[in-house]
Formats: sequence, C-alpha cells, structure tokens
Amino acid sequence: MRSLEIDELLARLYVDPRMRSEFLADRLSFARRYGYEDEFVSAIDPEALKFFAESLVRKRANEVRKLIPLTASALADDFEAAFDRFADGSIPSGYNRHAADALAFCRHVTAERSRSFAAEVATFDLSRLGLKLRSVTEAGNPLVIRALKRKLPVIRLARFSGTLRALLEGKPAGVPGRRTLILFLSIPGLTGIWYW
Amino acid sequence: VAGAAVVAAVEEDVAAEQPGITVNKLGPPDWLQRLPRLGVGLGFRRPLARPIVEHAAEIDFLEIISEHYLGFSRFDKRELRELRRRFPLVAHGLSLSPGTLDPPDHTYLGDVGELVKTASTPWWSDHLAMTRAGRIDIGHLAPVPLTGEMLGIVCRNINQAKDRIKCPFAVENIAHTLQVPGAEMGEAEFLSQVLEQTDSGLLLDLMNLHANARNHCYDAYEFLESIPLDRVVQIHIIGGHYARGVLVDSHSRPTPEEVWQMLEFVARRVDIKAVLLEWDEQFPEFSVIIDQLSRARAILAGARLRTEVSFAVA
Repeated sequence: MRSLEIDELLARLYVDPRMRSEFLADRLSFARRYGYEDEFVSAIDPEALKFFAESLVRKRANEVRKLIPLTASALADDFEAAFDRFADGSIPSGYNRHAADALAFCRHVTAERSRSFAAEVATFDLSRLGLKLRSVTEAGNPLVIRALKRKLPVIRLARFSGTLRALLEGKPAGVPGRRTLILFLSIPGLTGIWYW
Repeated sequence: VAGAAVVAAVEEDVAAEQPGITVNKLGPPDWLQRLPRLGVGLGFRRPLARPIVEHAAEIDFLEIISEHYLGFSRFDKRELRELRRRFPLVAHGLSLSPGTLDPPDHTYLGDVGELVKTASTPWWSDHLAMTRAGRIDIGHLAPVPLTGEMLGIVCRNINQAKDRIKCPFAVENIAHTLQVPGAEMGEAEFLSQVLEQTDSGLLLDLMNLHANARNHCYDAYEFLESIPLDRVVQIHIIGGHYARGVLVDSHSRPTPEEVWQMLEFVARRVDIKAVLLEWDEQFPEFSVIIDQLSRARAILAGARLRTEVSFAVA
C-alpha cells in the first residue's frame, strides 16, 4: 500500500469510532469493502489500535476539562462517561480543536441534561468560551467540528440560578445564593463577564 | 590535517584507557557546536507560572509550546515578553506533522517563524510524527510508516520547514503503542536517516524511548548506540504510568530510574545543550520539580567533569 493510503486509513481508524468498529468486527471484510490490501489490514494490531484511539479520547477529555473547569466540576465523576458519549460522535479539527471540542461538549451537556445544574453550568461555559470563538461543522461531514474566531461583537444577557453564582464566587456546595444576571460582552477593546 | 590526526590519536588513547566512555569520532555539525548550552529547564505550563517565577534562579530555561502563542493575542504577547525577560526560551511545536503527505501549512510555518524570532529561541523543535492525514485531524502524535517513501516525504517536509524558518531545528522521537505494519527499516535507522538527510538536531525524549523499549520489547541502549548521538541538541525527561500493562508517556510522574540512567549514558558521550523536564499533568509540589531539575544538573555536571578529567589524563 502506498503511503497516502496507509496514512489516511490509519487516521480514520484512530478518530472514527464507526470505522474502527467495522475494522475490529471483521478486518478482512473491512479491507475488501474499502479497497485496502488484506495483508496490511490484517497486520494492524487491533488491541494497540483500540488503546491508541482511546488514549486520543482521554487526551481530548483532559484538554476540555482545562477549558471548562466549572462544567467538569459540575459533572464530577460523570465527566469521563459524558465525554466518552460525546466523543463518539465528533472529530475536532484545526489549531483551536480543543476549544471546538469544549464548545461542542457544552452543547452536548445542555442537550443531554436539560434543566440540570450541569446543563446550566455548561450554558455558562458555552457563553464564556463563545465570546471569542464560534464552532462550526464541516460541510459534508457533520462529525468534524472546528472553532473559528468571531468577527462580530457579542452582547448577551442571561439569568442563572443562585447555585451558579455560589460556584462562581467559590462558595461551598449547598450554600444558597441569589439568582444572578450575567452579561457576556465582547466588543472591540472590551471583553468580559459581569454579574449582579 | 595534522591537528585532526592528533585529536584522533588522543581519542583512541582515551577510549582504550576508559572503555566505559565512547568518544564520538565524527563530531557534531558546526552549527550544532555553536548552539548555546542552556542547562536544565522546565516546560512552561500556565498552572506553574507563579512557582516558576518564584524559583527562577533554579530554572535555566523554559520550553514553550509554539501553538499556545500562534495568533498572538495581547495576553500571549505580554506573557511571551515577560517569559523572555526572565528566561532563555526554546519553542516546541506539535503541528508540523512531517509524516503527512501534504507539505507543512504555509501559515503555520509563518506563525512559528515569527514566534521563534520574537522569543529569540536558539532552536525550535517538533516531532517525527503525523498529526493529520489529508483533511483528517488525528489530534495528537501518531507514528509514521517506516518506509523509504515516507522517509522521502518526512525529509521533504522538514527541509521545507527549515527553508522557511531560519533557525536551527531539532526533531523529537515519539512514544507509540501501535507499530505501523509494512516497515522497511527499523525506527533507529529511520530516525538516523532523517537527521542526516535534513541536517537536523535531535531532541531525544528518553521517556518516549523507555516506553517504546518496554512496550515493544527491545533494548533502549541498542537504540541509543544506533542513532547519531552527536546530533543530540536537547533531552526530554519525565515519567509516565502503566495502564492495562502498557507504559504510557503521560508526562505526569517523576522521572523513573531507567530514564535517569539513560541520561547519564548520553551525557557521558555527548555535550548536551539542554535537558528539559516535561511535566504536563498532575503537577506535584514544586519542590519535587526542583529536585528533578537538580538531579539532571548533577548528572550533566558529573559527565562533563569526567570527560574533562579523561582528556586531562590523556
């Protein structure tokens, strides 16, 4: 097999869980279906492939955790499982791929856990990260997500619960706080978040 | 010619008297010999910013991740200026992807070139890996097929990058759990060919070598004996952890004894310009990091002293 074919086959197996499942289920059928050499495909160590693919998801999760620590904290022990469910259906791309991942994961959490505290925190993080970046999916391949710099200003006012306010202020869990209004602002020369 | 003959005679005498020390007869390229000795440094990570500044006297240099400063926001420029004011810097990239069939991204090279100039780095580095294939972004470093065709592609891409970024370049060996089938040569030979054909330096990551040797059952010292150690510019050290029986280069644990021993082995043979502790995750108390830097410094100093004594004896 030529280098181009090897590179693209391996890259797809690393990042595309559906393709990887097909490969792991029956390597010879996979080779014939996609037109790859039987000998090469059979020689790929399936356990090593799974381990590497899983390590890529773990690295993604670690980077996303750093970008949205409040959401990660709100999800607590459920963060890894929630991220695994999300990661199966997305492939971040570009230099801002971790930000693309974080934005998309926040959307996933708000959709999966609507009306929960984790969803509320994810909405906050989505607005915060979204001050500078917007996420887009690739035309023709909705699995691929990218984060692009925003060109237009952002002015957003939203109401959040007292629990989120307490989290922002670093108060211990369970301490009630006032419902809070938060302004997310990004205009030329001024970017920030204010709350009352 | 007469001078070279004298040097060769002295080297043979030293090797005969001190069989544990291998004196490299070829010597590093001139450009590498002219690089400054930076000492022992630390990878700059923002959670460590405050203790790094507080312990600046114990850290000789910092390695910055190039991608963190591309695009140059006002915050990035300010941070880079402050770091440059306090420390010598080297730039370490993640996205060159020389193992990709497409040439390196033009904009990326331009941005890295600007960073290297702004930060006044004596060299920059990236990995012998691929991070994308066509439009597929892998998201991290993946091994390249060890074929003659891929060797040509890697060398072409590195040479293009070097033509664009006029600063000495070092290529790093990566850790990998998957071995790409169809190899036409071993990893040591592939790496050696890349270094010689592109006239690049080597950023020798000893933890990556240790992990590969463990996971793929080969002798790390045989690997070290098979590569041009005279091209070593910088060394990375750190520790990893075991997961499902596999040694992972997680950059999250203290440097293991095997890596310290390899550092001593290399330091006795070549003049290492820089040793870097590459701690990325699960940061310990900063005193642990300082201890690791001190141990690396002691190893370098001990190796240099032994070399000087050997030549003095000769």
